Amino acid sequence: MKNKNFIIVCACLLVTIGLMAVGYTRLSGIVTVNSTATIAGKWNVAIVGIEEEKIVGDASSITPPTFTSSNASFNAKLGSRNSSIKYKVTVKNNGNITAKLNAFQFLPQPNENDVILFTSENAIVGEKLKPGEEKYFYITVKYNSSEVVESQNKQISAVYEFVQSD
Amino acid sequence: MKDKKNVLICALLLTIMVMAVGYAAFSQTLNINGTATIAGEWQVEITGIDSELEGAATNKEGTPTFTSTTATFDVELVKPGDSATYTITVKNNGSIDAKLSSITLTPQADGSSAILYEIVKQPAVDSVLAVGGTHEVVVKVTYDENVEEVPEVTTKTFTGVLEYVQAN
Repeated sequence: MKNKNFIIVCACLLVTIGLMAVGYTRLSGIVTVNSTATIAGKWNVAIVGIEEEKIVGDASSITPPTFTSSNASFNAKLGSRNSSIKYKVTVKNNGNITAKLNAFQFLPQPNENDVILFTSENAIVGEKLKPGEEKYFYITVKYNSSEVVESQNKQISAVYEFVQSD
Repeated sequence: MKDKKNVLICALLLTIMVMAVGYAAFSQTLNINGTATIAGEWQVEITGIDSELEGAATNKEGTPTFTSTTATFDVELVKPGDSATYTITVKNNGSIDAKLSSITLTPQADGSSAILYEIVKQPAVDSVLAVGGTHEVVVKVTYDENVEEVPEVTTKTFTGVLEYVQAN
């Protein structure tokens, strides 16, 4: 009797251990995750136009202003004192990532006493440009002298740096 | 297991590389290049002098003359009543409007009292001499008809100065 009970218990235990072993074996396995990621952001902040906005006095464009996606150029003539010409430059965010104006500067830096004075309007550092939006920047060049001066020429670059907005 | 680990590391590295390329592309510098030239031309100048003689008045040889800045006349008056009228033309041949800021017409103070200078016409101070426009100064010199004998002093000079500035 004693032996029979012992055998039964052992058998049960063996069955249990066997089942546990089988169960454990079935509760582990190789799991594989397959994934694909695609960057769909499109960055495209570009100059899309430049035109004369305002003329004071006998200022004029020697040649029509021109532009590419990253550069705009103008060549102005100032005849008499206080004459000036303002250009409007259109920048557009043709991408799908919001941009912001990170920095703006003139090179070289103008001085308020310059005979030929360049000034800018609407360059607000930190301002955002959302996808599809346009923004106008203005550059004015003025004959800034109380006296008539002999022929003089000056060149300048206005640099606008855009980066991705936070 | 080791292979799986390597695959995972490669996948992570690839992801980081794509992120780096993407970040670098999210900035743009736009340049606007400008050139300006002061090309105004200042050219206000004398362009002519004409004379009209009466009586026995005669211009000395080689006169009247003018340059862009100076007009000169030299007349001989023979008898009382003789006269000569000179019209000096000033023209704005530049590209900048000018205005007359001052005008001074001065006969010699100690010259002959028998010689009379008269300003027949002069532009007004602050009058604008527009581009292409002209101003005239008309001066008449007369041998005083009331003189009854030849004076001791027989010459008299005259100086006229016109100053032009850029019109506002």
